[in-house]
Amino acid sequence: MSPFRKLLGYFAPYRKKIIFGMACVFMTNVFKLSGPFVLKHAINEMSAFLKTADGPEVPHVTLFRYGGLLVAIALAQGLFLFTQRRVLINMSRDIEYDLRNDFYAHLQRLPFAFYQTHRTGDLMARATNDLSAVRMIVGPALMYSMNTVFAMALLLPFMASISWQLTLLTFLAMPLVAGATKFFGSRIHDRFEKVQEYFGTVSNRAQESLAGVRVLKAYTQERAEIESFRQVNREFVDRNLGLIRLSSVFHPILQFFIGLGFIVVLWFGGGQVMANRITIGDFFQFTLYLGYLVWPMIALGWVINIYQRGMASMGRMNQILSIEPAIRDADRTRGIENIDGEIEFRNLTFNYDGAVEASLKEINLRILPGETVAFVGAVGSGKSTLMNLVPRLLDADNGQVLIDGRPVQEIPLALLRSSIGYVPQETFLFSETVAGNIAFGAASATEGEIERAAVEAGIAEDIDEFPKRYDTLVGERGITLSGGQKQRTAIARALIRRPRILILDDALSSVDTYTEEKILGHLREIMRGRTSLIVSHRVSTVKDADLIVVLENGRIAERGTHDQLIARGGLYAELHEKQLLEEELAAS
Amino acid sequence: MTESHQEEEVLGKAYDARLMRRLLRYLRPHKARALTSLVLTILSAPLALAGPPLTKAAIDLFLAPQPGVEPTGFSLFLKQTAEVVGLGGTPFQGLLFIAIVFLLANLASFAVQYTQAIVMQTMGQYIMYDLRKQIFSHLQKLPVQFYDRNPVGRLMTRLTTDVDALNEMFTAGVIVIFGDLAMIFYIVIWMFKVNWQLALVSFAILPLLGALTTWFRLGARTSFREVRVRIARINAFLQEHITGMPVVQLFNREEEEMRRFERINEAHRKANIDTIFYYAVFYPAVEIVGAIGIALIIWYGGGQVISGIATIGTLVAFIQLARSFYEPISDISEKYNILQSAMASSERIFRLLDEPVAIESPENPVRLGHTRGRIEFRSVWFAYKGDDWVLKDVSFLAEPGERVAFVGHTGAGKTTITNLLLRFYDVGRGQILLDGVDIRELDLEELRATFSIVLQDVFLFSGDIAANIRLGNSTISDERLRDAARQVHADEFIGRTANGYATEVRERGAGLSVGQKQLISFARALAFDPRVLILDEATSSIDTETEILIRDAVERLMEGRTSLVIAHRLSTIQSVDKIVVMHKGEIREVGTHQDLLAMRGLYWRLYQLQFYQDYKRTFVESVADD
Repeated sequence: MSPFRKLLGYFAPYRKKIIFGMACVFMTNVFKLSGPFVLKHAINEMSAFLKTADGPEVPHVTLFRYGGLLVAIALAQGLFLFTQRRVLINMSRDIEYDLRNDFYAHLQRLPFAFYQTHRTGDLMARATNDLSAVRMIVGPALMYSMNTVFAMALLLPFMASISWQLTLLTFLAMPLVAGATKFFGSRIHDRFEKVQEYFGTVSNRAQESLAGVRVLKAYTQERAEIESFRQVNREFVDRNLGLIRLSSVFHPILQFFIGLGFIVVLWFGGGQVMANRITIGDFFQFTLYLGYLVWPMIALGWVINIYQRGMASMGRMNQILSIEPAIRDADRTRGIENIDGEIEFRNLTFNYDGAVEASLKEINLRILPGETVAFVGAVGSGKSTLMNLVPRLLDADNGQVLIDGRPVQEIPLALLRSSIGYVPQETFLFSETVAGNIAFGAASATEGEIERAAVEAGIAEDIDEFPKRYDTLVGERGITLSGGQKQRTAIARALIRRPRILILDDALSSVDTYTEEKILGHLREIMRGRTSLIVSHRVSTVKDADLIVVLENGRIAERGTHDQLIARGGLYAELHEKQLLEEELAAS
Repeated sequence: MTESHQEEEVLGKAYDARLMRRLLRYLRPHKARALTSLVLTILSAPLALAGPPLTKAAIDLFLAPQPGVEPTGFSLFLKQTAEVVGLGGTPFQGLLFIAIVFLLANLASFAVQYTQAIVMQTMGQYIMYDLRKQIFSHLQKLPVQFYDRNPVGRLMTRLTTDVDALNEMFTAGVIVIFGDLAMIFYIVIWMFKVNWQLALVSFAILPLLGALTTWFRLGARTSFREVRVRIARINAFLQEHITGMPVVQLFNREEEEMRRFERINEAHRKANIDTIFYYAVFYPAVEIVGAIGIALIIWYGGGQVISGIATIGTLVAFIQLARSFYEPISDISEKYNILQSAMASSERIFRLLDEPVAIESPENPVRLGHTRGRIEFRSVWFAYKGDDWVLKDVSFLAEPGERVAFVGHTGAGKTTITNLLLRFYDVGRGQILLDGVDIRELDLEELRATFSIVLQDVFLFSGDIAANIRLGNSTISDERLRDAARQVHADEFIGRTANGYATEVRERGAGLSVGQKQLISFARALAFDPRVLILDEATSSIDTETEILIRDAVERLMEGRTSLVIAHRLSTIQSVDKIVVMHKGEIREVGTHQDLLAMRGLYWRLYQLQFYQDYKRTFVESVADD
């Protein structure tokens, strides 16, 4: 769907509001433009009195009535102006709200692979800057373009009825105002963006050099640093001056063009008054109308820029919104109630998008419920990829990954994932309480269950020492956890679900051997009859597994129990030996 | 600057003579620009407001001349000038003359406004440049101690937000206020001169306008603040959830998180809608007040016209001018905020600039010339704060070329020794001598150039790998740089990166492993070819292969240099000439590895406990870490 049609869709629920808002804009203009009529009559009446000297006396009551009329009109106009803003601008906030919800909801549906290829900063920019730019279309730009249309539609006949020649002349000058706004508006915006971009460079430069001040001092590079900052500073000033040269013209030239309009009216309109073609009141009314024309003209140029910018932004948001989630429940999905935990990789070959070489090649492995299988191998051998395929963070071709004998694609995604306790390689905790993090995947967990999971994951003692124990906030606003504490919290988060399948993807790397031993002991208890997949580099972690699988370049290189593999004298035995050696060396 | 972070929020006076005087010093190098700008600003008021008086003249002289009323003041002047230039013949010619004057004023107004804007803003940029340069240079000179007390984020605010606030004051603030005042002054004078009674009537709405503006500013400010808080929450939520999306999905939390997001999104919408209310009331209200003003002019002025006191031209010009009043008035009330935050910012900036550069070179430093690298601590006492002695009576000697290792628990004072040696801090009591000279008598740069230091946490700057080795020191040739990298075995992995030495190091060295970062820092240390090496060994785990490279690289680094090592590796410890065992700020044992083990003292215990276990763990983990 094109960005434009997509955006139109967001207006649909607010159709009535738009029509009502539009009516308000119309009425605002009607009242606004009727004020000058009153002034015209007032002036004409005075002028007639003065001219004829003995003409009809203008009593003070009449003048007072004119004044009162002006205020009454302003009140009516104000009422509609107020309503117009409340209706149209509020609506734009509603649409922004809808769009933001949809954007986030969509992000939640996008798979792991999407997040591997999109930077957080980029997605954030779309969710914030781009959304604001779109909001400018649906709010101010819409309102002001309505206003411009109505103002022009009403002003043109009003002005022409005074003098069509004069109207023609002013309409030659006024488009210059719209043109200048459009021209300068977009260019100033571009230069401003460039300045802002460079501001990032300046502040990163300073930030780093302040953060690394100890190194700079130790190597006595302060002066070189000052010089290099001077250059960045200089460049920043130069870019700013570029912006200033442009922006300094904008306001004065706008004033100049507007002034031209008034000069034309004074000269030509004045001439018409003298020639008695129009009255002095007409003349005054016309100058007021000219004044009213200024803002719609500026708005015209402004709205065009906002629209262009906003549609580009909508395009960027739409790029994300139109990505169909690759991993979701589909027609193949069967109504399955529970999972036993048997896992099979059947002739599995997996290729990342655009990768030259497959990450996993012809993997054949069957894991029965209750088994613990360990995976070892060098970085890039495919361990994590293999783990990611089980909860469908990544998706292999149909029929290559099976659970309980069915392709994972046939299992409802929610059931699949809720049957798995996953501890990823890189621990991610949310900035909520410790308890909230542990119970993240188990909303109904009781306090007792949370504490038990903490004990099982070997984190309970640490938590008891936190200032507010389980209610301590994690992250910037609370406590900063060490790498090992984070990992253990993540393990608790997985264990509390009592999953049929537990996956530890190198999840004990920052935990010391003693604690590791304790945790593994708990796991043996909890995972009895359930399936465990454990990725590790440490022989100590994997040696008791039912089966150890050694991966090398995406293939299974060795498989067997600890003793079998040692006896075999292959990669695993080598790894084991190396680790033993290091221990001995340490003890020497 | 040790006060709480609340200092960022405090807003005080909008004018402080002491601060203002100091601020005006920054204008001094730009005196000509400032003056030009001021003169142009004052000039631009009558030019920008040329319309109403000219319209009045045109109406009174030609469009609706009142019988019996003779032109006065400006109108009379225009009439006479028109006659001088030969355009006084017919009313049409007169009108043409006025139109030409109007056009000239319009052109002049354009020229003046444009020049003024350029001159003033250019000046603002230069002042910002000066300020940033001064702040940054000063920051570079401040002692490490200062950085212990001040988080980088806060210092960044000085360089960015606070400098910006001052720029606003110089460009949009002070001079514009003069402009606004000139504008108001001009309107008031003109109105009073033309018709003081009508002028007074026209001013009747001003208090109303003032009250309205104040209400709007205060109300909108509060609700704007609320909007900012809400949008910050949305951003924080998004940032966190985009990063942690796989976790959300794996733990089936989509619905719950969506509900939470809707809640904070809703709060943001509500805050915005509150803000809209202020605008929705304010704009119409200004219109209504304006209409009241015009009504007053029609009613009172109209009466005067009929009685022959005022002319129609006067009435029209007054109505036109009544509208021009609003802008400068609302402007000035806005400037109050700008001034207020500029004062607060300048106070913070000046406080930073007044921070003493506590550690400096002496005026007549002793020049060592060629340093041999003999280091001696003589009864050194040191405390970071008050009487909390971190080092107590520490004395030791490192002969040129000797290798000395420091061991001990965390907090034993090992790192402090290196901090003192580099004069990041000065000793409390006692002396530190380099080649027999108290380091406080040496030139600071010469002293520090004697050392290369390798810290535990390797700090990398953005820029390429070569720049990270060279650190801005242009005397290090490419050849020397590569040679250094080769010697510490960094060249192998550098060669494997996309652009070799020109490969960009991303933020804080993301993308490089811990071991690789260490190798870069070794190359850095070696490239500077110091007499003395200070090495704070990393405890973090590294994969076995890199570990071997590092061990070898450390050996190369120490070769032929006095080396002080805060040791965590057995291999390093065993090969040093002297081990200094520290405990709670004191030296407890000194000797070789074998000596100390034989003593069966603190070192022996430490060795048993810490090294053995630590070591075991480090290595087992190291394999897990790659």
